[in-house]
Amino acid sequence: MPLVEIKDLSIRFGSLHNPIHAVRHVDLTIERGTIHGLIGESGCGKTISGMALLGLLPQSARVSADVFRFDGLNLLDVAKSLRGRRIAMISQDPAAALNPVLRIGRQMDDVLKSHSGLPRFQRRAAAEELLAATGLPDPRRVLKSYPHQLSGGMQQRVVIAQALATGADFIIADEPTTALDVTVGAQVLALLKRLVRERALTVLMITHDMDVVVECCDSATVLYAGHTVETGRTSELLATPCHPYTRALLAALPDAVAKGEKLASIEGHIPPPFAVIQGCAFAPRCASALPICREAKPPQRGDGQHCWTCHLEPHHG
Amino acid sequence: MDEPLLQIRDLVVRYRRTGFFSAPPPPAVNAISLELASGSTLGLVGESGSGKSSLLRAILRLVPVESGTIRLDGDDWLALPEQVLRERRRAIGVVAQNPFLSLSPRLTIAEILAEPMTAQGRVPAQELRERAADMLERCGLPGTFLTRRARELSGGQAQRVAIARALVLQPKLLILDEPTSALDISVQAQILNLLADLKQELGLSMLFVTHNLKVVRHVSDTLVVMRSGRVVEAGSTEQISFAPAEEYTRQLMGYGGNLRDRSR
Repeated sequence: MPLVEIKDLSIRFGSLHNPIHAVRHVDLTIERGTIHGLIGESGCGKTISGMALLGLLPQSARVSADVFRFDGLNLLDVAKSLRGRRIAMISQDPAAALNPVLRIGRQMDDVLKSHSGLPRFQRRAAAEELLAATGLPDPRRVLKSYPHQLSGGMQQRVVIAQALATGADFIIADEPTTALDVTVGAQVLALLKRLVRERALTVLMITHDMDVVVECCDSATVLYAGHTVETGRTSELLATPCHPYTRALLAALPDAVAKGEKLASIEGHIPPPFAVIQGCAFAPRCASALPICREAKPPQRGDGQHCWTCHLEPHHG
Repeated sequence: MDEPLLQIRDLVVRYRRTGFFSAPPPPAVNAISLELASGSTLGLVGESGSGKSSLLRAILRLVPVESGTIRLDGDDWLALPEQVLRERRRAIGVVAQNPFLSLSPRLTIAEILAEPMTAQGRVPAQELRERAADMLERCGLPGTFLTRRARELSGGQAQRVAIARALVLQPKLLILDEPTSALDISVQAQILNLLADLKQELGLSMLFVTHNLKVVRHVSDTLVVMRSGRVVEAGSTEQISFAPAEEYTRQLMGYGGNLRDRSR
């Protein structure tokens, strides 16, 4: 059984008559012990889907789903009670995630105090151990430091250590490397990969950076305008992208064409969240759209491993 | 061979000591030399703290330079007196990373584009409007955008306005500081295409600063890799990306691999 199973998730804000669709139709399946990428551009609903998993949506959000399960539990009921126990989060900017006026030792202790139930002297040792596990060279010194005395990469390692301190087995990482230098980001991704292997974690990697997906994700889901458009193993997704949007996204990368050639950019804009979408959400920007694409919802294609939603017959060009 | 547009020799930038008794800090830019030929693009790569921004600021004459020379378009750039500098500064246009921070939220796009022109002296209102609209159109936005404000634009549109503003005085050198890292992939592709077009059309030279090796490999003719204030590697883009000599460059180049190689 997969750890996370989501079918037809939709998240809506606003009134019934003027709904704002943040997420329209998201399917997401995450196997245990893997890193699953959630790829999409700004406004496609990837962060808010992560928020739903954490039970962090505001009261005004209307959530509905056919299936919304974490380890067999219905997340619509229990998301709040799982947060911090089974599900933890690593945010984009570690400097914002840490309290600037408290030493790291105190901030680690706060997490351990509320989650582990260990007595004080053991918590200190546990904090050191966790920091060492994230590859920080001198945990004692780090515990005595304030966040501003650490580099961005070290701060992100502290945040990862805090996520581990909760004892969670599922971590949602929302663009964990965007604020870091490329080489430091690569180290953080390598750390996450190692932790997944050693501690049997499962990670949902929310990102818009294809390089991150290539570096660390076992499988990935591509979102467009609040829809899951394609999902599959990373290698298959990159080698034989089947949905026109995935193909366009890969073609827009600077290393997709020879130097000096034009990049394939996607014309037009993503539909705004209040738009009513009749057929396929990508149809207005799709180069190979048929008349039916604008009228009817696209069917699901592919097998259980690699699937996508499109009217067009698959062809690998 | 013509004289290069920008020629930097042994440039040293050092910031002030933090306290009266503290030792002077190490130089932020340590004896850097580089050349940018007319009509070509130089990519400047390095991690945070490597001195990229200090170098840019020195070129813009926003920080005092300890020693070294900068020649820009035949001038001894660092020796120009203030009054002359004001007029010559039009030779450089700058595009920053985040358009929403670099464009004033209070002004209309027309006012934003007019500002560089009025700073150079009186220009009739009619001409201001025409030149602004013309440059906006070259950057791929219709003239109807002139009455809008920055916050009404998407990230890509706002970055086009920032590019139009940088180009409205017809500079010879365009400095781009991470111009696409705040943008989505598909929008990044649009902006990179636009820059390639403008470079052709206007014969621009570009100094392109970025973290993103893939982007820099796509746009630049020559590359300079900086680390802790020094140039660790410099040369043609092909040479550096296929045979990086330094471990640090190798790490940068290896990240993410090549998608096309992966898909084979």
